[in-house]
Amino acid sequence: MSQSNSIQTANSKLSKNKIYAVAGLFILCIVPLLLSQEQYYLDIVFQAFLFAALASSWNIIGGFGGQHSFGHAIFFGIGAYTTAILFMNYQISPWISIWIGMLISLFVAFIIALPTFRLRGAFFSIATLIINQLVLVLVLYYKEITNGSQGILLPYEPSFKNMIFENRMAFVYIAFSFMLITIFVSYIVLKNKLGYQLQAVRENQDASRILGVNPFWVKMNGLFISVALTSMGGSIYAMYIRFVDPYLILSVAEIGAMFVLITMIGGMGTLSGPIIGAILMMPIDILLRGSLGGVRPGLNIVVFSLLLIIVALFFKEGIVGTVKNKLEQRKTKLLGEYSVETDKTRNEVNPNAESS
Amino acid sequence: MGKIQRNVLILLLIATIFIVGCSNSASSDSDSQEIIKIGVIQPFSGPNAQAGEETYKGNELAVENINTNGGLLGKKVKLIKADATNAQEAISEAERLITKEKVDIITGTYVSGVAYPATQIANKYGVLYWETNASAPNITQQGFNNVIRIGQYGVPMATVAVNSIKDVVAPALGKSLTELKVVIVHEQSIYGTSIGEIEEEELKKLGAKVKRIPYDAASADLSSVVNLSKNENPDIWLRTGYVNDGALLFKQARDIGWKPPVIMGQADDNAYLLEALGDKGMEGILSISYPSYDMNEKYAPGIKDYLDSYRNKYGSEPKIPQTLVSYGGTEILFDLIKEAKSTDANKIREAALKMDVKIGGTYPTGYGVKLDPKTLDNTRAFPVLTQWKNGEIKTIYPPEAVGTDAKIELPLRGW
Amino acid sequence: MGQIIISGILLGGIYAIVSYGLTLIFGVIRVINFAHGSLLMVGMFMAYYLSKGMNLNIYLMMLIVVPLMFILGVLIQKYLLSKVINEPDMQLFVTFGLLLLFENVMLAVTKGEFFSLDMNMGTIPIGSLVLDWGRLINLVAAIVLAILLLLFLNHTKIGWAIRAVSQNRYAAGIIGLRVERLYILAFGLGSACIGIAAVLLTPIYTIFPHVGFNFVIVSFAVVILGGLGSIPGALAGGMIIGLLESLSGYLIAPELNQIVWYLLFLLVLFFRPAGLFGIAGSEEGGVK
Repeated sequence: MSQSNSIQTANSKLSKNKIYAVAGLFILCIVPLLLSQEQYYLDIVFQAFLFAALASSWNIIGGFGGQHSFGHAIFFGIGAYTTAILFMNYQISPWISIWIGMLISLFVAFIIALPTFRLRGAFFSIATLIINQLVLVLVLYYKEITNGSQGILLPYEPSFKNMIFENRMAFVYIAFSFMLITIFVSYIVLKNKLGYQLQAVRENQDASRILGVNPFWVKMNGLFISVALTSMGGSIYAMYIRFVDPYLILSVAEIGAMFVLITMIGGMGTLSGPIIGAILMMPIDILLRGSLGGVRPGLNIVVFSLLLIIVALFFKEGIVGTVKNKLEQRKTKLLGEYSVETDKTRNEVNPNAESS
Repeated sequence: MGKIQRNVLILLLIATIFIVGCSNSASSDSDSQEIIKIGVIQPFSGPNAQAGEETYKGNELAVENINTNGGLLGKKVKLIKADATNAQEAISEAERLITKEKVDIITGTYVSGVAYPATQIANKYGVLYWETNASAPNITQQGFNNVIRIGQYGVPMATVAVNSIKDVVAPALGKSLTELKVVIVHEQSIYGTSIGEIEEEELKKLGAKVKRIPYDAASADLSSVVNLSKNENPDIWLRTGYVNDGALLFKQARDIGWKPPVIMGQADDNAYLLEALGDKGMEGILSISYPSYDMNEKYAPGIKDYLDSYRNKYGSEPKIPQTLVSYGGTEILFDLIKEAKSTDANKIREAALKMDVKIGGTYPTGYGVKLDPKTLDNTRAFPVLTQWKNGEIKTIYPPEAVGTDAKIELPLRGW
Repeated sequence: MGQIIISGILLGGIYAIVSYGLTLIFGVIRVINFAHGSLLMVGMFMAYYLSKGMNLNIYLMMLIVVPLMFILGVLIQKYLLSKVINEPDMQLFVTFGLLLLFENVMLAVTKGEFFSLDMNMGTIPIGSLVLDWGRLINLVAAIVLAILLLLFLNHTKIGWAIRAVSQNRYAAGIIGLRVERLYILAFGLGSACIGIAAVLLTPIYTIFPHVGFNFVIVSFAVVILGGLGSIPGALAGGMIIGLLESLSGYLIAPELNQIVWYLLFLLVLFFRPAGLFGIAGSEEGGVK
């Protein structure tokens, strides 16, 4: 993909089709669950929104910037631990400690990025993976601060100040707002210089340098925005499950890699991709666990992983990318030779009128 | 993509939606009048799946037993499985059990990390959480009045380990406690740490020399643990961990030809370690364990029936001792439901607080029942001490549980 | 102390042998193969069941397990990964899907039970030090396999072709090599190497559906540390990590046994991103 091309696609991210698609998926998957008002379904909706937001956050550096970090669970963990520790030891409200967690995350991100941003592609991914494991070992070892492998158990004291609620609906609102924030931030990034620069670095880091871009700082800025949002998600998550278990919170397989996989299946580097990915993946995973989890050990994950593989083979460029290509192909067929316009004009054309 | 492939995809997607849909409709049956539903939260997938599955078998056998004998309060009992391997899944599954499946009672849980959120949710809805397995001490210290732990947990496991060292092991070695040197090795998660730390504290109080070495159960190599232990030249090697790390630890000790005079593990009397090390390898190894299968029928009435029904249903010997604990725990629950004539958490708690059963002679686990009114932990659920002899598990301690004339045989002599 | 160094070297042999397959696949096809550990697990289950079923020595099972694993690898590349050959993201995604699939299929089959071979092959005392047969055989096999792989890659036509593709797949295509076929072959060979490792590790470890997971991260590290696609690098990387893990477990604390090699790994990446034996600059192209 050439540079200009990719920037063009970036511009068309909010095309009407995309909005319809997201809205449609929303109505299909989320609204019925919301309407039921059942706490079980609200839990699913919460997880879908939260992971949509987290995948979107990851997407800023991973998708736009092409830096596939497998270590984002670190920042998720910093958010969760900061909130939990400050809440337990100093009774600081999560609404305040969220921001402290973000600051710590920025600092840690800077330290981690200094050496690792020299690396590219899989080297960067694996370096971040190893750092994630390093952080887990340290968290387990420094028991005085983190309570080690016991984790931190937060008491159930519902109040707005404590960010603990009786009804999960409140958490659904929080996760939904968080998701809107990440989409908004992603949109701003994409529309501004940083977005173009990130994409330029992704497509060709060396060429971008010639254009006067400093890849290191471009990536660093992208990473800062990404980890700040991830840390925010970690804080919300800690108050939601009220048990900060290092083996879960800092798990590459269950947290860090999830951000990557959701974004990949939805559409890497697109605004709607991570959202679509999460809204599809999370409910299916949880519902399959509920329905097949008791039938035979692991059966639910067998079905889930088969679905993932099949979807990956059919939507090779992620759901958003592939659907978009298909739509364009169809339009090109209908429009004949004259369709080499921008997305915008193409969407406004009525194909039937045109072809008749 | 070919047409056929696309059709296959569509079929699979439809199948998934169908399955998911079914799960949601299944719960709407209106027969809750005739059925008592008990949700079982266990890790049925992930690395602990085997333990979850085996523990569930205990619930299953107890339920079959009561259903063939006329049910409970005139109703049939039905179990509903819920698979949770971590805190996040525990929330989803506990919510599903309570709000969708409308279970009357929840029981579990092999993994303590699953128990925390699950007990919190059960507490929110006032549903009884009947804990038969989890070992972390603070699960019952959350101030919930719906969480009753009927089985043994970390504190008694550790104290019985120390007591049996004091009462049985040290005399067998012919040493006094102050002469003893103990190396405690344990895996570093909450299970191993909580037990290891109590053991260290108690043994130090008794004047023994103690060194504690935590390790990662997922390690590919435990030679450093083995060598560090060997350097101390301990009289007793006290271990708390899982199956796979236990097998590796023992094999690596065997590989350097080191066997201390006493090896004592937590629940190391399972079929998997026997397969890994053979009769000869396990010979003489002690376990602080859940009540074992060779116990005296007088001390543990019903244990023979239990063993027969296990063999009949699953076609093998029980693999791990925890199965009996969930079986026995479920029987106590049924007795309490009969007593309270209800599945309501408050009524069962009241009945449970009144219950006063002495140790031995009532349940197939040998457990007595007397709840601590503050934490609702059962204060009469005690582990036993077992020893491997010719590939069989022999209960050594407490004396009244010993079914045969088994005597402790120490020290160990080579692999 | 001597005993600890021996343990470290023997552990190094284990880490090396599980990494050859990964370095071949990673070096040639350039996909982060998350399914690596679960392939090892599948191989171990094959070896275990076959050895029990036929009542034959476990090491003889190589004759069956290695071809089976080769076929499995070929099938994965031919019917799954080659479908997404131009989409590195989706390749990674598919390997993660395979990781979940293999683990959980085996979980559904075995219900998560543990299996072990009790092969008490005895020990070899050397003065005050002791070696065990299982790990020694593994170490020797690791060295022999490294030599065989090197001979194959450097002195056969197919080997040259594989190396050409791993260095520059576009140029290799231009000079007429059938890149897709070589990919299939490489994945098959990589899986066969995993099969060899699986047989050798079966007497050492307890087998259960998640046994491979613990080897994934360490073998990634070995491969990058040694240099992508480099067989001697994998051997050296395995030894370094094995020794460091053993020594730091003994000298610092067993719960911190991995921290030193994590740090060394990061340092090496910082100063020599191509790894110890990698071609300098190979990291610049950015393996995707």
